[in-house]
Parts: sequence; C-alpha cells; structure tokens
Amino acid sequence: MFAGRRVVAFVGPYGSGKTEVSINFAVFLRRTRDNVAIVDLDVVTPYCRTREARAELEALGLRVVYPREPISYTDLPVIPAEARGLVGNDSYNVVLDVGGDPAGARAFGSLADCAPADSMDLLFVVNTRRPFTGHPDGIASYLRAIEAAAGRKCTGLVSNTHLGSLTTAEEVRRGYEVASQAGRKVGLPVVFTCAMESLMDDDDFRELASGLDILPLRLFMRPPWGEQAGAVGGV
Amino acid sequence: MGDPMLMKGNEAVGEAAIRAGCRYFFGYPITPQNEIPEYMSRRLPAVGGVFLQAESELAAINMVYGAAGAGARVMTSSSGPGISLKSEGISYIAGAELPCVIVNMVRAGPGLGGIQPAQSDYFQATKGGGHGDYRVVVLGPGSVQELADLVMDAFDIADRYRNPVMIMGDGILGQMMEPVEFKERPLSSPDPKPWATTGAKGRKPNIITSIHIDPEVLDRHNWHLQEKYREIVEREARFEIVDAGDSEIFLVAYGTTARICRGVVEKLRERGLKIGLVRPITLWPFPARAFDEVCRTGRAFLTVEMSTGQMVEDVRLAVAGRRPVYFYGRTGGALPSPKAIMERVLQIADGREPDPPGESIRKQGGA
Amino acid sequence: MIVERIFGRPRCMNEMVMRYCPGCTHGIAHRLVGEIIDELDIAETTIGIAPVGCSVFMYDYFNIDFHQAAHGRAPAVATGIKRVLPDRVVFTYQGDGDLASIGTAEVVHAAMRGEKITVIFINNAVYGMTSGQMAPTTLIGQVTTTTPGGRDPQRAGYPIRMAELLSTLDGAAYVARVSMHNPANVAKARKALLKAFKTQIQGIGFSIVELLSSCPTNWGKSPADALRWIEEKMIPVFPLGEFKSPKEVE
Repeated sequence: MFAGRRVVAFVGPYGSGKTEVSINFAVFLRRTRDNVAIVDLDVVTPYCRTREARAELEALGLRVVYPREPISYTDLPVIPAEARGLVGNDSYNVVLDVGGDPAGARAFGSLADCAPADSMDLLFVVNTRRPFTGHPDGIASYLRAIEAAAGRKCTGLVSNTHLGSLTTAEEVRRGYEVASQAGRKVGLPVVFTCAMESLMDDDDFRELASGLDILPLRLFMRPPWGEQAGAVGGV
Repeated sequence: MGDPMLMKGNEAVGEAAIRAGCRYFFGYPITPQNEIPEYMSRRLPAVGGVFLQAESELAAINMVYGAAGAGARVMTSSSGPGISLKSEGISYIAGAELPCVIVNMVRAGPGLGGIQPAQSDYFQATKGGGHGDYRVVVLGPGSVQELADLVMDAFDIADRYRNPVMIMGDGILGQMMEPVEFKERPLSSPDPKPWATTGAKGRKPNIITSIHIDPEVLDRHNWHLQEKYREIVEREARFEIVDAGDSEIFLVAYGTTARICRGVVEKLRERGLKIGLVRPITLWPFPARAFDEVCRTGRAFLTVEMSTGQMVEDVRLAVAGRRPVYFYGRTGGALPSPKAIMERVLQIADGREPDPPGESIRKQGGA
Repeated sequence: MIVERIFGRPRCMNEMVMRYCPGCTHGIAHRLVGEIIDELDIAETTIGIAPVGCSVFMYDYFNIDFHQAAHGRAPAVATGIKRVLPDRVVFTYQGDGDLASIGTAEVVHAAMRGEKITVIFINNAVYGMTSGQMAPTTLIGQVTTTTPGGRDPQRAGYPIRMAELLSTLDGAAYVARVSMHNPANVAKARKALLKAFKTQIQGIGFSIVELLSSCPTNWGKSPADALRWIEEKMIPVFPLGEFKSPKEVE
C-alpha cells in the first residue's frame, strides 16, 4: 500500500471525502510508525471535520491537531499554531486534512514553506459521483484550480468514488477508471483507491479490485441516528 | 431518472431548484447554507439564469419579491438570523400573493446562537415571523432525497397558490451527503403569468402591491387570504406514519430528529415495545388528521425536537387533550441522543412521567 | 371648427386627480416621468416601483405596470425585475427617507452593481407621509417634528448628499441633481430624466436623478414661499448639476 512522503496533504472538491480518507490514511500509517499526526486544516466547512473524531483518534495513538475551543465550534478560518511546527518536524509523519475546493486549498499554501517539496505529497481526492467531477475533464480542471490555490503541484490522485449505502464493487472500479483517465490527462497516477471495509469480503469486489492499491475505509464521521445508510458529509 | 449522484443536502437544493425551472437566485452568505449560493453561482449562468449575491438578506428577499412579480421561478436561502431579516419581505410577498421558495437551513439561536443544527425556527416559520395575518407553506424534509423532491414540489405549490413556500432543513440535512436521484417531471409553471408586471402591452396595467388602505378592502383581502390558506390546509397537509397498527406510544418528530427517532422505533420494536412514529412533512399546514388516525391505538405521545419545545404545541392542539403529550429536546446544536429518547419512552411505557428536558443539562451548571 | 390640442396629460397617465397637497412638486415630477415615457414610447415595456411615502399610490396615476416596494427596498425590487426582464425599462421613485435613510444600502449597492435601472429621488428635506419628521437631508437648523429646536448637527448629524456620494461609484453612469422650483429648472429636470432613462435603455449602467422638491405642508410655507426656500436654502447645501454623464448619451 502506498505510504507516501513524510507529509501527505489531501486536497479535493467539497465532499470528495478528504476527511475520512485523511483519517483512515493516518490510522494506516500509525500501524507501522510511532509519531503520526493528523492536522485539521479545514477552514471552509463548519461540519464533519477531523476535530469531531479527535477522542477516537487519540485513542488510536494519533496526535490530532485542530483549532482549540471555542474557535473549533465556529466557522472562523483559523489554522492551528502547532501545524507549522509539525510539518517542519522530521520525526513526524504528518497527514494534512485540507478543506475543500480551491477555497480550502489556500490554507495549504500557508504551510507549504515549512518542509521541502520533496518531502511532501499533495494528493487529489476524487469521487466521480459528486457534482462537477463525473468526467475526466471536470476532474482535470478542478485539480488545476486547486493546484493554483495551494501553490503546489499535485503528486497523485486518490480514487474515492462511492454512493454511500448504494456503493457496489462496480461503482468503485468505474470510479477508478474515470480517475485514471483524468490522471492521464494531467500526467499523474492514481496512488490508491478507497473502498468501505465491508466490501473487502465481497467476491465481486476482490475480482474487480485485483491489481488496485486499496485503502479500506472505516467511517469516523457518523450520522447522529447511528445507521450506516448514507454517510454524513466528509465522505 | 438519471444516475444517482452523491450530494450534500445544500447542493441537492440547488440542483432540484434548477430542474424545477428556477433560473433566479438571490442570496447572502450565512453558515450552514453556503453551498446553496455557491452551487447556484456555478450552475445558474450555465443554464441561462442569474445568480446574484445581494448586499444583505433584506435586499435578497426584495430581489426575490421583484423577480417573482416579474413572473419568474425564484429562490433564496438562508439560516435563522438571515430569515429574521428576510421576514419583512416574506410578509410583503405573502400579502402581494406572489410565489417563491425560501430555504432555511436552521442553525441554533437565539441571536447569533451557533452554527450547528437546530429546529428552533419552527415558530418563526409556521406562526409568522413577519407581521400580519399571513401563512407560509413550510416543508420539513427528512433526507437528502426528500429534500430534493420537496424543493421541486415547493415551486409547484408556490405557483398553484401564489404563496411563498419555505423549506425547513437544518445544518445536518444541509451538510449531509446521500445518494440522490432527480425525478423527471413536467414543468407545471403557468407561463406567462397573467398577473405579472412585465410591461402593460395589450392589456390593462398590472399592479403588485400589499397596501390596501381602505379598512373594508384590507379586511376583504385578509379573509380572501384565509380562504386560500384553508384550501392549502385541506389539500396540502402531508405526513408519514411509521406503525405496525398496534402502537401504543408514538414519537412525533420531523427532519433530522425524525431520522433519529426512526432508529429508536426500530430498536424498541425489536425489544417488543409497541411504538410508532408520526413524521409531519408539512409543518404548515400541520397534519393534524394524522393524530386522529394514531389516537385509535396510541395512548401517549413523545414529541422530540432540536428546540425547547415548539412543534409540541401543534401536537397538543391536534391531540386535543385525548392523550398525554410529552416533550424531549436538545438545543444549541446538541442532538437528542437515541439513548435519551429510549429512556423516556421506557418511562412512559412504565406509566411514569418522562424526565423533563433540560433539567440534567441545567444542573451541569456553569453559566 | 378645427381645434388643435396643444396641451394635455401624457398618454401614459390617466384621468385620476392627484391627491397631493397644493404646491407639492410630486405632481410635476410625475408628469415629467409621464412625458418621458411617452417621448421614448416605452409605456408598454416600463415597470415602475412605487415607494413608501406620499407617492405610495403613484400607480393610480399611470397606465403602466407598477410593483409596490417596502420602505427603502425599491432598488432591490427593481433589481429583481430587471434581472428577469433585461429588455424592459425599470424605474424606482423614492423619497429622501426611503432612499437616503432606510434604503441607503439598497441604492448604494444597486449603483455599485451598475444595475440598469433609473432611480428618481425626491429630496424635500423632510418625511412627508409620516407628517414632518427629520429626514437625512434635513438642513442644519431646519425645524421638524423630531428636531423641534432645529436640526443640531451635534445631536442629529448633517444633511447627506446622495448624488455626490453615488457619483463615486463606478457602476453609476448618470448622476444629476436638479430642482423644480421654477419653469427653467423644471425644463432642466426633464432633460436630466430623459438622459437617465436613455442611460438605462442604452444599457450603460445605473442612473439617478435627485430632484429638489417642496413640501409646503410640512415646511409650513405657502407654495410660493416653499419654492423660494428650495432656491435660497436647499440649493446652497445641495448644489445642482450633472455629477456624471456618459458621453454616449446626448
């Protein structure tokens, strides 16, 4: 499974699933590394942010960095002060959960000087079932707009196509194909593909996903009614 | 029907409006509904429409007033504090009998309150908000799919009765992502609207106004409005009852809270409890007759809201003293937990009074 | 016998007798608007926005479509109509309380956006409809029912000059202040209104004409004295002229 460079930032359109992907990727890294931090850089959406799962993540041994209360309850665009130090700290693997769209990607731009470019990955998360990113052209133009706002080039795509409770193995595979086509347009690989862990035992999925680098997802942002039907924003 | 899309409630509002023929959107930013104007700013120009970010909510609703008068399908969206500002315009629009759709993704109040979800604007939406004897049709969807469907219905209802229609969501419904399909449907907008101010060519001038300075005339106008509202009450009330025909206790909830309650009903039925759910879909007109149906087996009601108790007043009016009506609610962005609801249901099932809302929270003290 | 009719009501106006006080200049302003609608032949494509104020029933006198707005919100209502019907002519008619007090934001932002609408601004330095309270344009020392000792700038501020203020905005294409205190100035007012409507019709931008107007009833003056008061007291505070005029409009 792709582990990336020391600092991995996830960017992408609103609702492409950056928060769940960031969390699951950080949890994955923590299995083999001691010092893993996840930084909530979402300055654009007031709901469904890493900070809402912090207790659960801390219990898993992750360092969670987010704006402190009462700022964390607001929609004020504040970047936590520790973020700069951690991005520049060689003894940490850092996962940056960047806010959606070019508007959210600006926050990454303010941290980009903290570490050399060759120690950072900027990964573009895409769900082809979301508005405006159903086709390779839409994905490519979105990616370029986000690169412009972030002030850095993306280094890869993450395929996160799903339809909540209606997701099928075919859906995941189709999303990967569209993301790959978009990747060819912009000269970038799909570095991994996400799928719900419930799909891992599915025979169809195993067949369709063979050859793909898969990050199994466990949902951390859960709807208040506690059912799995439909994820709350963020995935 | 096209391919399902994964959409936030706010995005689904925008797409549904466009598919219902809405080409004009006037709004002002406020959390947690910003994805609606952002979506519209992106999509409307592409379909030949107009998106305009107004200088204030006051201006936005008055732009809606103008555009509705000119005969267009038009929408605005906001959240509690912004709806308070829009209430002036909503009263004028209702008085002048123009169709439009207003979305309120409710956040916690009063005042600046908070940006997390709430249902504390129920009184404002269903009992007035602005001045005068007027009513707004208020729809309370419970999922992203229903939100999309009701936005499309809202334009039809608005045109049918020449009346503002409000979609009452909440922060969660706006931000939540779910698969949604947009149903193909014929555009039912009467076009051209013979009363619209489009220039008096080949007809007598049209005047759109809410001023009737002669008391007799205004009295007549107000009773005319009431006649229309009576028709809406008769024809448009909608609700869903979750019941196996034997329920003795009914939860009553709408929107996100109904979703939580549905989970509670499922869990408690597994444990053998005879429990059901009444989910008003129209908040005004309030679906009072749903309670006539469930009073046959139901012996107690527990209304659950993200407020200190607003809809419960309408539930009590509908139940009309036939059965006890209890209330549980959380506010400020906190959600009623399935556990707290279950505890109270079990207390009612035991023939006890359920714990009052707010007490344990107040005791935690502080402020 | 052949009789040539050389004077009459504008065709876009009806026979209704105006319900304004003797000496009030609303009647002149209405007529000027009517004449220009006739001259430009736009009665069938024009929508007026009636304000809150003495002219709230303005639509009673015209044979054109009208939309009545809340106090101050006329430019927002006009924006809504014009964005839906960009090929129609849309104008608002607003007093000083409406435009320069409660509706300041709406007119400033309509001008900022360069909305292709025409605003007719009746400045008579007093709230007429509500019977004589201070307006934002009330002169220093002017007695009103809410400045019984005369407007004291330490307590009630200074008169606001909307034409000058709006002329700083790039979206405002035509901005003029005129007066109706004598026939020569009424003729100039007519020209300014004509230019304002043409600015809109040619799609250049926002246009506004501020008309210095009389309110004999609330000023407590005879009609003739009221006109003199405009000349002697108001014009020094509110200088006349075109503040902005697009070269495409002659």
